[in-house]
Amino acid sequence: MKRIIHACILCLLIFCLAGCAKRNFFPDEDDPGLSRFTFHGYNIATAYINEVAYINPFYGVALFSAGPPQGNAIPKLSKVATNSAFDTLSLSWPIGINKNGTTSRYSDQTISLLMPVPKSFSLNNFLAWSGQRFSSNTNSITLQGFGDQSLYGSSNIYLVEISVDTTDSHKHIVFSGLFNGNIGDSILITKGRFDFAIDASQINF
Amino acid sequence: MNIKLLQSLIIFILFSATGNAQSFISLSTGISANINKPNQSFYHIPLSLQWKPSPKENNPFFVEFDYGIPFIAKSSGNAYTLNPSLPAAVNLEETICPNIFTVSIGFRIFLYTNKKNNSFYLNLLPFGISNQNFKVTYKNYDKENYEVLNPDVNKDLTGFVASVAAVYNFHKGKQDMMIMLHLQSPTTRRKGDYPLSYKSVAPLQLTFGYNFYYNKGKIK
Repeated sequence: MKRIIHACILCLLIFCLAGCAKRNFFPDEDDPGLSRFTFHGYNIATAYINEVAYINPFYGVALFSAGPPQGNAIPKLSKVATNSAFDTLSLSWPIGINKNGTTSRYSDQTISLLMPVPKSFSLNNFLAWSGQRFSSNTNSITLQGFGDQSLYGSSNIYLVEISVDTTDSHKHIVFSGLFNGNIGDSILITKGRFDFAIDASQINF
Repeated sequence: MNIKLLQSLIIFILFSATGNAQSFISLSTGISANINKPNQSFYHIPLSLQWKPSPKENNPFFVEFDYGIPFIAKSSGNAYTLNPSLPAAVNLEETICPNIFTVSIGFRIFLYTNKKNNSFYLNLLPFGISNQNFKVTYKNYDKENYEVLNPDVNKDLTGFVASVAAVYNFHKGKQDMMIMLHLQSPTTRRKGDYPLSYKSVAPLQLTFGYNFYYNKGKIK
């Protein structure tokens, strides 16, 4: 009987701890379905794709399977080696249609912002990009899960603020920015904004 | 122990009411400053109305209505655009208009009177409800092209407050006048998880006004 009580207490404790993660979606009154443009490391990203609001998913507690970390889906920031003179800096995250601040955690749609960078590009170079606006002449945008094949287009990216947060034991790179883009004439991505915080140990450059 | 303390407090309050054996309405105005400021300084012109309906000596309870006419607080915000034909960043003037209305009930503790019948009271208002409405605007904000980073937003807070005031009643000719220094707590209502540049207002107000006595009873 004691074991059952202890198991129940443990389960309750897990559920209580699981409740700590926050969605941190604060709707922008001017742009329905999108989040406010913030720089707090909320790991929230929203954009209109053909005037439909998309958002990154929220992952709740996964007790019986090894799921992603609890909370808003964290983007992947990585440098991808290429055979050309430049490598590619890729910032990608899962998205889904925003339904009252939430979307399916099983969405297989992703969006990626791609920027050419020198082979020697480092984290310090990335930090120095704070306040830089990059035009669509050089940057690409990719949508996956919107059809059989990945969709490629061009994008404008503005890395408005980048900083290093070392308030807890982990070093986090916090960055916020704006983006838009188009894939041919058929898909228009507008009003995109993101506010991310990534553990520096997860970045491969 | 606690019951004895409460009994003593009640006896003290009732005993201390002996200098206030009449009904009255007080009207006063002055200047108010927010003392709960993280970034923003809010100033108001307070309009304060106190009403003590009972003329009875042993009933020191009264109602207070406070409205703050706000001075618009100015700040700034940064906005950014992807449009290459526009400046990448602009600084916008931000204005915050905080309206405050509070209703409180409390009691007066008589402290002192002199030969001219000028008197000094301590007002305690342990229970009040305050509505604080903050309206935020960004001047010349091009919402189509720009996005404000970490924008402030409108907020409507209604919550409980407590306040305390020191009141000096005096006479000038036939007029009954008063000066009051009044401090109100911030509301108990939290403003939510989203960080704003302002907090619930805790006004410290200095007002000057008139007392209108009616149903005059005997002042001991």
